[in-house]
Amino acid sequence: MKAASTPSHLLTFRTQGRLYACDLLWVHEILRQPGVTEVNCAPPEVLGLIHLRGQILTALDLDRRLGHPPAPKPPSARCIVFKTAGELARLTTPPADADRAGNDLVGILVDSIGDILTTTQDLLPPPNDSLSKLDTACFAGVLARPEGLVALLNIGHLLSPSALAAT
Amino acid sequence: MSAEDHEMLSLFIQEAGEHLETLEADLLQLENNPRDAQRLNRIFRAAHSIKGTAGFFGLTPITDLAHVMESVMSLVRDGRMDATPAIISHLLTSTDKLKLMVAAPDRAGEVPTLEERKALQALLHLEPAPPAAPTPPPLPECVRRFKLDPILVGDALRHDQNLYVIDLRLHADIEAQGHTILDYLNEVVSLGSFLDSVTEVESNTGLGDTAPADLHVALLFSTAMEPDLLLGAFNLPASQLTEVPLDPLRDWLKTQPTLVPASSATASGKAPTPVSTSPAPAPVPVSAPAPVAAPAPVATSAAVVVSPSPSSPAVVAPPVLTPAAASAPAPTIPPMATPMPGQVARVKPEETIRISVNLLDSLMNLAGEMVLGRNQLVRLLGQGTKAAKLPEGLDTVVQSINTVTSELQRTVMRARLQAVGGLFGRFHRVLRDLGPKLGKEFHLETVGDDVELDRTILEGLSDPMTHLVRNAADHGIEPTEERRRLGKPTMGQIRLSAAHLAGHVQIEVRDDGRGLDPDRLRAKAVEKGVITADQAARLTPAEARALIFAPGFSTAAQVTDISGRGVGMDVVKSNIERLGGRVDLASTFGQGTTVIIRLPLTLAIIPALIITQGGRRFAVPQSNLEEIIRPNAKRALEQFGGATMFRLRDELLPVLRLGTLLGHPASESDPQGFLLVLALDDRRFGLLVDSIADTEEIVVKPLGRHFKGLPFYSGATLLGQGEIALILDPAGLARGRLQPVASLPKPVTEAKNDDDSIERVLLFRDGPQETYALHLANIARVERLRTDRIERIGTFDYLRQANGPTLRLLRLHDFLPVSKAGPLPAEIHVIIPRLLHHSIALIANQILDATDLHTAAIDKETVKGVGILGTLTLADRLTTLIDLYGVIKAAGLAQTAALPANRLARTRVLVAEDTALFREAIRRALEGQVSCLDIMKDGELAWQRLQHETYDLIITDIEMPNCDGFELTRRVRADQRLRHIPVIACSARSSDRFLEKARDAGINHYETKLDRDRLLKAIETVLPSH
Repeated sequence: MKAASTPSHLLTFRTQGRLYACDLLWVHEILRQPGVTEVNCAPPEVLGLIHLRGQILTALDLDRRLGHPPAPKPPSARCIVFKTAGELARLTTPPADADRAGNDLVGILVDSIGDILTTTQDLLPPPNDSLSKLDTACFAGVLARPEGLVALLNIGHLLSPSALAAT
Repeated sequence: MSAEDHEMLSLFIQEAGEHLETLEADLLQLENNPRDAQRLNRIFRAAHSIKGTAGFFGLTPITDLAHVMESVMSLVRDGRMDATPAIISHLLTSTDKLKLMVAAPDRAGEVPTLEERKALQALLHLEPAPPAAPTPPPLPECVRRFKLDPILVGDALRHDQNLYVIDLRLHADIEAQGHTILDYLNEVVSLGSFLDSVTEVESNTGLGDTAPADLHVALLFSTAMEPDLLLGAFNLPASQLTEVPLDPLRDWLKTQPTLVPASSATASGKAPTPVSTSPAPAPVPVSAPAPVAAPAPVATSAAVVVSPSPSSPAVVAPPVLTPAAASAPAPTIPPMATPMPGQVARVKPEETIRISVNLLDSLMNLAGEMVLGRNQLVRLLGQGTKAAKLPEGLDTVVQSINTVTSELQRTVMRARLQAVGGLFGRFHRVLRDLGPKLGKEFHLETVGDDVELDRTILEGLSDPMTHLVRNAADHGIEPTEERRRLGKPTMGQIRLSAAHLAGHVQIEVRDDGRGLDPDRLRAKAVEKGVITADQAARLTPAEARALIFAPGFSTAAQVTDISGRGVGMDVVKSNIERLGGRVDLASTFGQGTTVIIRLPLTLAIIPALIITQGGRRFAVPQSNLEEIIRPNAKRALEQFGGATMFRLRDELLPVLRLGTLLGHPASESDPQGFLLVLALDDRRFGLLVDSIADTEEIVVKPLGRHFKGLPFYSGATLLGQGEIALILDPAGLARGRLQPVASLPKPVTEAKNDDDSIERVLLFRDGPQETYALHLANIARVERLRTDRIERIGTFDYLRQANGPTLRLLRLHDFLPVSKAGPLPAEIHVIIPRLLHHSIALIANQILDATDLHTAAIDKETVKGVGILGTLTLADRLTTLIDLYGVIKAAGLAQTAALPANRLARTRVLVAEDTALFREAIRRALEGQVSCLDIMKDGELAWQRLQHETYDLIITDIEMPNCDGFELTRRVRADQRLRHIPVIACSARSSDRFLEKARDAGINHYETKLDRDRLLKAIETVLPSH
């Protein structure tokens, strides 16, 4: 996969010691202490539902979505809520994969939120398909930072149901 | 183009589009009633408004076409021309062109309209008119830039109105004051009528970049108002208003072809029409409403009161009354004078604004949040009173917040509802256009236009409805010639109806066309590979008709451009189901088809039962819920093979455990829980849940994309405290998990003991000693009654019923070898059996219980006698099991068999019956009378028997394990060797659906159980006479 150009503002976050980043344009808000209601028989990457001011949000488990083994969420866990298609359409320059957004609210649960990076640094290509069992289409590329390697996520792909994303 | 211009132009597109919608609808209605004055007025005004607004933007192509339409309409309105179908057709095609142009105003010039304009222009010239003066006198300077319509100007002058030219700046005078153009024009129209408008920049088409920041617009306006009043009304300085001198206009008018004098020829037969254009008030043509005697003040934003004045009919806005507006108090003071018949009251239509659906949805969400907040507040208040003293009056405040919140939620909900009339109305045009193409004629009838549905449902309904109506027109209705030959009315009738039915809305699309041919459908389905030939042969006609819902099935012999658009009925069905609805089909071959759609009123709020399972809460839609049962030791769940069942009255209900479905470990604490009886389209099932929490009106929220593949849930909701509960979808829970009752594994108990099965009986007593049991399936009802209502004739007791036959009352001790029950108490029970032939009832002085018995436990030897099937111990008592037929026989009521004994004696009979009691009853009825009587315990066994033995008659139960009565009959009818054998079905179930299904399967006669005489009669009718 070709490494995409780097978005100008990145939100970094950490889960199970791994560093990730996403385009800040995608982020709607960050929830502290999200109360997740589990859903029986839901797809594995779905943690459950979160009540967000009268609306219902689908909370995804980032680890499971990417293909890592799941781990319990620490009490400090945060939920990053992403913008819907309608909200993205209002941006003057929507993020690259905005067309994959849906009209439902989706968020991911992460262990902790990091800094916001402003960078023009070039991306390294994402990990190769053959190297892992991960859904590599979720990765846009990798940034080498002093604090470690940061995986930049394709949020549009990440938020799509994995069964559909395979096609 | 500036943002404001953009916004205004898009407003224009919306508003003109709306006008065009009503225009089209009104034109179509006009065909039925060409002299409908209100409608004529509305059409005229619609064309007029479009012309006016388009003029504002300098959209000349639109203005030009709308102008000729307006002129034609003006003639029609004034009765100078009749609204013939030809004229309406021209107006309709012009409307289409206008729609095209309005949709993309900046490219309006590219739409060819010459033909339409010519055609309409030609109509104008048809009008008898004196030859035009060769040189028209000069017009006043101030009106030269306007396009003057002699008809409109004539109108204004006849009504003694003044003409004004108003100069407006679009932004400063309209927008800056918080109006929209339409808003403003509406106000203008409410004060008089405007004749034309021009924008100052000639080259300005479609608000090009050359448009100045503030657009100047000149309006030519006629009104009876004086200048100063008008300035006040429009809030304009005097410099922007010019009064037009009228005399030069009158002179000009005389030279015009469609001049006022022409009206003397046609205006109306009743009112004398002035020949001159004198300024005296002119009588109004009869087609127009009479002037309002004391018009109510018009509420404008400038709060101007219009002085009483006769107004032109073109100006009077007929109230567009929506159901809501009709009940709401009118915003104006009612006129003092009693309105004259046919007069249009001057009521300002209910004001509407346009808001986006998203806004409505967020309002909905906020209202929901408010409800949650309110609940928390109420709860806190409840806790607070115990802990500390609360401020005075706090609970009153909370109380009122409570009510207001509920009201708020209801009101927001209502905002989402729309009448189906808008959708229905669309099909008038569709059918009108289809008619000539198909060589057919249609008459569309709509019923229940005002029934309201959630707008999301209405939107989703549009495509399926279009498909159904086109189907009806294309495939259903026969060509005119064929209809004539068949003796049907030449016009194909298509009827769309909507009605509220028990929390649902039922929509029907009915045609009186050729109906569905089951044979053709079968053949087609086999040809398309939807089913095999073998399967096809076994389908009942109803099942064959349902084939059209199968994917990839289209019955049109040829794909036509009308309905064969690659979309089949399967898509219609899945679309309707997505809306939470169902589709049914009723059709009589040769007589027509009705498609019945049942829809929920709204998807947004539904009544639900909240249950808990494994500590989690779930909502179950009340619309599916029939009853809640608490199983106990007496009424327990039973295991039949791998399936769990529950005996609900005389029905075996398959049971699903919610815990198992959801993957919870089986909870040991309360193994029985509660059983919800849930009804689906065609079957019922029981859902076992841990406990019942509450009933609540829930706001349905859709689940995100990640749940698409999950059939169990139809959405989620927020409960009172803000917690999330998933909404269970009963259809999704049951999908693929319910075996059809007929193919259920044989009950285990049956396998162990040949003659054991469970029957439900009613236990009752008569007298102190005897306890009796009577099969519940035999009982129609039980009534309590005072003994003094019993009437005695001779030695017989009778009970007269208000609506039903007089019943002969039987006391069991009179006929059975049992002890005497003694005198009757003051109040007794009568048990009225389910018998068609006899009007009898049994007397009981005490009803004990309804209970299950094992047939294997019946002792047939100890007590014998007519009317007694046997004895057994039930509820620690020795109980006598009653043979109802035996009692009837003993009472001397049974009639002798009508069938000649010798013929019956030659008949070989095969019986398929799974209920031991009824096997016994049939055996008693027929044994010894027929040459051979073989009784099998289910349809499958009977079918095997048929392979080896020869029979003259089959008597079968309907509901049986392994192979039910329908299936057995179908197999018999499909077999060359057996198909001639008459089949009598015996079942207590006798709904119309069953009867129809029985007919379809090929059952010759359908009998309710255990009436010997009727059974013998039935045998007589079905046996071939030889």
